[in-house]
Amino acid sequence: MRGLTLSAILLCGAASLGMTGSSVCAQDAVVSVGGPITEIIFALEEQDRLIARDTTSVYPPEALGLPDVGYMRRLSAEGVLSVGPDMIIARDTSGPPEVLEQLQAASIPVVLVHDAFDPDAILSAIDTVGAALDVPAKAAELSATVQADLDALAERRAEITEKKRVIFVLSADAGRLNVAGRGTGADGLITMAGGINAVADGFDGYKLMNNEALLTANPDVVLMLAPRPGTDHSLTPADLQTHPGLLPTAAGAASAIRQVPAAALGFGPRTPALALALLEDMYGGAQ
Amino acid sequence: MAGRSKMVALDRSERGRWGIAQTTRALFSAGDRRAVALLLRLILAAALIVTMALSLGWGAADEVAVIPALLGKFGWSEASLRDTVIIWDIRMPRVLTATLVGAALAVSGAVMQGLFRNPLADPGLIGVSAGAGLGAVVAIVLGGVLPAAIAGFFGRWLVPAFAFLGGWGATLLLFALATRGGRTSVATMLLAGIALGALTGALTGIVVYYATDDQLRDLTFWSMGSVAGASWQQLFVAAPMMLGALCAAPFLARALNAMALGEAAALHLGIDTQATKRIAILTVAGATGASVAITGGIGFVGIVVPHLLRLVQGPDHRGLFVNAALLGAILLLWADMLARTFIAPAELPIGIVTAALGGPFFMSVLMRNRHLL
Amino acid sequence: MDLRTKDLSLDLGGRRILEGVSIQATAGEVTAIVGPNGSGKTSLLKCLTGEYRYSGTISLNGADINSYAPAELALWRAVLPQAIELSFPFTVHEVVSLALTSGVAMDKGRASDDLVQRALERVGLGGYAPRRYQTLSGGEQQRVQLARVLLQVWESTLYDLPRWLFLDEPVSALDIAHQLLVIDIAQDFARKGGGVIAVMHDLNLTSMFADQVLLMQGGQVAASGAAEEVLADEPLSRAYGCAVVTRQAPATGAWLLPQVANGRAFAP
Repeated sequence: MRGLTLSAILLCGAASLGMTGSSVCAQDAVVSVGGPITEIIFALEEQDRLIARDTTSVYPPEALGLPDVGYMRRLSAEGVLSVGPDMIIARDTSGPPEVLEQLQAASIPVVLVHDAFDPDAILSAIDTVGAALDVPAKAAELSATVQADLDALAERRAEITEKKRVIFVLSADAGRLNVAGRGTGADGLITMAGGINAVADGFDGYKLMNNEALLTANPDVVLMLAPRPGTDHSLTPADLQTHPGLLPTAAGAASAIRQVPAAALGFGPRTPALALALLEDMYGGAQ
Repeated sequence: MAGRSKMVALDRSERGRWGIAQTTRALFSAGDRRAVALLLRLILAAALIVTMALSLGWGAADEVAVIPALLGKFGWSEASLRDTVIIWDIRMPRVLTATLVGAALAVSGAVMQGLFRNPLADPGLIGVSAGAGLGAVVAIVLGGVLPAAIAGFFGRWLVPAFAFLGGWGATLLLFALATRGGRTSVATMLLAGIALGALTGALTGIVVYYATDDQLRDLTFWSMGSVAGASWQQLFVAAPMMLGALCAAPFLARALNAMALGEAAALHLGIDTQATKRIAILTVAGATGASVAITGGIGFVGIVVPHLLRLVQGPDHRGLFVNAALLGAILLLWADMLARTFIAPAELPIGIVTAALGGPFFMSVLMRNRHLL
Repeated sequence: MDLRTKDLSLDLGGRRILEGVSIQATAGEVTAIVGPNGSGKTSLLKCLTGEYRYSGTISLNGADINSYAPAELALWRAVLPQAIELSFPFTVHEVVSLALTSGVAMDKGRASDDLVQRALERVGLGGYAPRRYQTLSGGEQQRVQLARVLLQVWESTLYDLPRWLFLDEPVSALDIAHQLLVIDIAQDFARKGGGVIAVMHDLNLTSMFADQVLLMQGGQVAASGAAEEVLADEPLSRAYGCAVVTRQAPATGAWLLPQVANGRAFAP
């Protein structure tokens, strides 16, 4: 991760050689690709330097006011160029790779940030973005805050004697529930908040589960997305409460349906704080 | 009989010279002046639209000086690095890709319609689209579990390569199924193609079940088609096959004309129907396979373009292929320009544009020309 | 020069369609193949045109017919099928021009348009060139096909060898005036040195223009020879399995075969 930081600095330097009249790395027209990246930039209070974002960058709400250059994995070189950027900060799963290369060929530095659903990834992402924007002090501050949250989480997790079984439901499709398995943001969040993903053995990604499988999993807590302001979420806690696959489970019996903001799944800088809140919610003060 | 073989030799050279004379005369006789006019109009429209596509940009990419950038590459003029990159590395490959793919798909459609003697045939009938789709799905979803050696060898070419192999595999399979005793039955190929479509659909569904979110999105975008990722590398690899197919097609023209009377009658006229079928299928598989591999699924061009042209210039295949190549290129370039501007700075997948615009337009043309069909 | 078959046999779908058929058609003559339904007449023609796989030999102008490449064979014989379905809206002119596909040796001085026009005039469709084939009546379409076929073998002989017309029920959809026109064309072609083989349904018309008649029955040649011999009471009744009475019209000398209905012959 330090290597990426170094290369970002070098790219900045190289790019600035080609530009006339600009100081070293004074990037004022940054395109951020990836929800967590945008969040970090806002958290660093550098949002004035943003000129555009991608479709997955929906938090904070101010980000929605920026022009949208398209889906993160299907960028278009022309589209990105049309907003007149002088730097692009993107998750390393962005694509297609040809477009990123074309942008670099057009003398626009592209800084890639490693993408993963674990706490270390959040910290290194903050470092990389801070270095790219040349605000190391603010980045260190943010890192420290996040680290504090992570430490608190670790401490609280150590106190848990019996971990709760948790599932995360993304949506419902004709009665069947779309549940998060391994390798998803939700899975990482559950682990961070001291729970066990009740279906983690079964599959990767999101899958539609049938009712028998839900009963076998027997979760203690069911998580779902909190409605985004301004959108009409079709799934309500009442729907899940009365769902035939969940009603007979421990979660159904205890009415343990919790809502989680979408931002928590993206593993941005707010995720540890949200995970902490979730942990407190699940385990209460009863430890 | 020695006498007879002498006659054959005479006939071939006579035939050749006579054929050339006939074709040249035909180009300039009364009825065919319209054909030349149509061709010239299409060439002009194509040139115009290529120019427009190269100049089209908006926002910060709007004030690109096209001519200096074009010449700047060869050192004949001064242009900023950014302008040069935009024109040469971003727009040029994209425009060329759209041109070639549009031409390839349209010509493939025309060949298929001639081969199956049906104005509703499209390149998908020989299995190439179904196979390419399955190949792409496998590459996208199972790419992660491939041995590192294979994945590393293909790198970012994994999806196009698998799509290409899938398309060819399906076509060759269908061809083998439909050919017995040296004779290919197009009817069998059609029916077997339907069965293969069902099978690939099922296999695709199974593989998709194991896909992650990201992979599902990739798949969806792939199937909607895009020329956004066009690069010179891709062109160098795919263009020879597409150009080869485009050049081969006109040679099928007279044979396909004769086959409109039915295979038996074409045989009686001296056409080698088996060779024609083989070349036609190879041409379509090559052109469509290469196109789908680099741009994903772009539909509708293969059916609409030849149909429109037949309404204007009649069903003679000799003019049809050249005109189809031009009109296909024009159509796809135009669709690409729309895809780029509609939700700028984001982009629509081009397959959506061709379908959304092509559908209603085609329907209106059909309604007006019902009496001709 | 002639067209011969020797011991031609054909099996289709497990049934023996043709058995040991040995015939000879001579250039300069019109040879008609007649017989009841299912006797194998069309199958015989399809063997001659290469659409069926047969056992035995067929030779055209002294060489085995399979030794000709398709393009070469197209120089020597043209086939008029019973029905043609056209899937695209070609014009009459375009359909007839298809005869020029294989680039046959032609009267070089003339442009192809002129030849197409002459062929159309020959079949009585002089003004039809720009019309769409699909809009014509069945009879008109059949004549367009005949024009195409004629154009393919426009000169009856090539390098002193006869060219051949294979006709499959060429007059079935035509009215009487046009039936007589087609007969005239066939005879003219034969007179100029070409060979004509026609599968015919109508015995009266056959008697008018055939020099040689082959009567098929049950996959075999029941009778062959001059029209007067074959188109006689006894061979016809035996082959068709019902009473057929033939009479020669006194005025014209042409044969008249009365219609047979309810097992009773009507004498004119």
